[in-house]
Amino acid sequence: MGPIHMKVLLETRGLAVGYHGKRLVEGIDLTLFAGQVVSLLAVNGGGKSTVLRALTGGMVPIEGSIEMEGRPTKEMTAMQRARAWSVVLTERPSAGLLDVRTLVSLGRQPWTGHLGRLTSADHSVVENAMQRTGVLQFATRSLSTLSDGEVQRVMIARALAQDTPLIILDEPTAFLDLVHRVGVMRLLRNLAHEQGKGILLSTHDLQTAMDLSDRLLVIHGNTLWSGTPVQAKAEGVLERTFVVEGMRFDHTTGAFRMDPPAHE
Amino acid sequence: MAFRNVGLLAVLVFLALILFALHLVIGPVQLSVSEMMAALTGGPRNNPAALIIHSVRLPEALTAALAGGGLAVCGLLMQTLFRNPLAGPSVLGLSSGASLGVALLMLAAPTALFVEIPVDLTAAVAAFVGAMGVLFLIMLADRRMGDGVALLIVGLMLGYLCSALISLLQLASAEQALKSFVIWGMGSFSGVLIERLPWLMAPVLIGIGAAFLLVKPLNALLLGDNYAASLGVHVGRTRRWIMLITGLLAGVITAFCGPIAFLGLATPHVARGLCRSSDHSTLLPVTLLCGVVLALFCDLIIKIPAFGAGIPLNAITSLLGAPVVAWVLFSGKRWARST
Repeated sequence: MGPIHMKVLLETRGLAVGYHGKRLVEGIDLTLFAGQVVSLLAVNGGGKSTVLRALTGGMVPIEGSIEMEGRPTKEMTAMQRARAWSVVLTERPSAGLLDVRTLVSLGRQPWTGHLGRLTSADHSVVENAMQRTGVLQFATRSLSTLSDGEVQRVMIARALAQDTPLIILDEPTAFLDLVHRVGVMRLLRNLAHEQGKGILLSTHDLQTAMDLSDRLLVIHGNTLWSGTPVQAKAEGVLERTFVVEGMRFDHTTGAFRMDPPAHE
Repeated sequence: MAFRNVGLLAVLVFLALILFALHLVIGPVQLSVSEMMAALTGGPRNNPAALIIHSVRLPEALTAALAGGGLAVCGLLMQTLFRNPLAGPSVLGLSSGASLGVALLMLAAPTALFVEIPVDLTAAVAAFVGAMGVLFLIMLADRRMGDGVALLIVGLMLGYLCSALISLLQLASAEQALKSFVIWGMGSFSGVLIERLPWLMAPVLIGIGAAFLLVKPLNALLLGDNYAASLGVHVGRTRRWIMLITGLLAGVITAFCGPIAFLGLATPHVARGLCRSSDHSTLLPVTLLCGVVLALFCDLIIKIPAFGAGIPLNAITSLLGAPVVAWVLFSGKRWARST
């Protein structure tokens, strides 16, 4: 990625998040750039969703500041936020009878008037988003007829149609098989590198995250480590965080291996 | 909106007009189309035909159209708000709440002047307060649980609670008041006097108009509260608006027409089946017109002498509505996943 994409989108200083005053993760200083895929990793229950919720305004952080393009997010209106970042959530929408095109069109809402009517410019953004994500071929099908992988692509198309500089995804590859996991990650990578989108996603798929992310954020204990996959490998961050008994980290392949079970 | 749906809307408008006209000519006294036209286009006011149309049939047809459209819209709003296909004014206890309000008025205050007149503005206020009370309790429960099925159960429980209180009131009430209340409970579009009509028409039209202003956030709510919020929708504010509109529609219509069974619950499903979409910019007008058509149709059936005039309206709406709800449950692939 060239320097042209190194525009700062989201920046936090001294952020602490948690519930009921109990700090789950603290001292979060992170910077998200345009044109980069950043993967947030943690053990289950480690606070991935909590961090994402705080970043997207779904909950108030315990302390610290969040700025979007130089502007404190707590001063932004709901509409300004909707134009700054879009989200892909783990929940599957219940809109069974909505066809794919209508659903993707909902992404235009922050940009349309009171009645939500789409202009021809809106329509072309929607078509473009569907084409980029490869959902054009089932544009007229209803959501309930799609597979999990297809639904995920549709939800990414919807986020893309929202036309925000930043897209934040919570576990976009959960429940997908390897082929679709890699497909979704490559799609996100293309959106970052070709369209200059800033992409932040949480995942527990270490392997794909290592291979396809520009930067990693790793929640270790209650602190957040930030760096490139190469640095993570060099510093042994993943081993420190994820290796449990019966498992080891293979430095040559960058993959986790199971130890063979001990003989009785 | 696709051409298909414009055609659908045109067909529904046509059907509604035909049924409306039939309403004006059919009845104990058969009128001709020319007599109807004369009465509607400002012919002499004092002949019997004009009198029947203006003082009896026009108010009844308008009441049926307003109540049917209003209840259908009410049901659609509830189904979208709760993301539950079985939500509706009667299932969630709104009608029971309205009934309790009217029961308190008619049965517990027998000395009051208005007891003899079931359709009265006081009854409308009582029903509205009752419906809003139940709606408020349901929204409180929703905030705590956020689970559609649990919420429906709470609605049913509130409904039973209201029914229990009503039967206690009935036990202790005077015969005449009891009879008025039972007849009110059977549902009817024929009890609204022409001079009372504006009191039904204004709130219903305002409620329906307000629903059309909510098309955009309603569509966002199809994605779930979190997605809606991420699109810039003030979810809490939208919920409160939907609450107010449904309470207004269900409360006022129930006050004037009694608790009408199934129309609010079943009509949105008919509309979804017809336009094959959940997009409210299409679904809302189709639901509204389907409600008008179905209400006029049901009311027409009980007016045709061959079927025995005097059948309670609720018997017909239930006979038609129950199979629709059953069909939704059995063929519920589209919605089953969503609940």
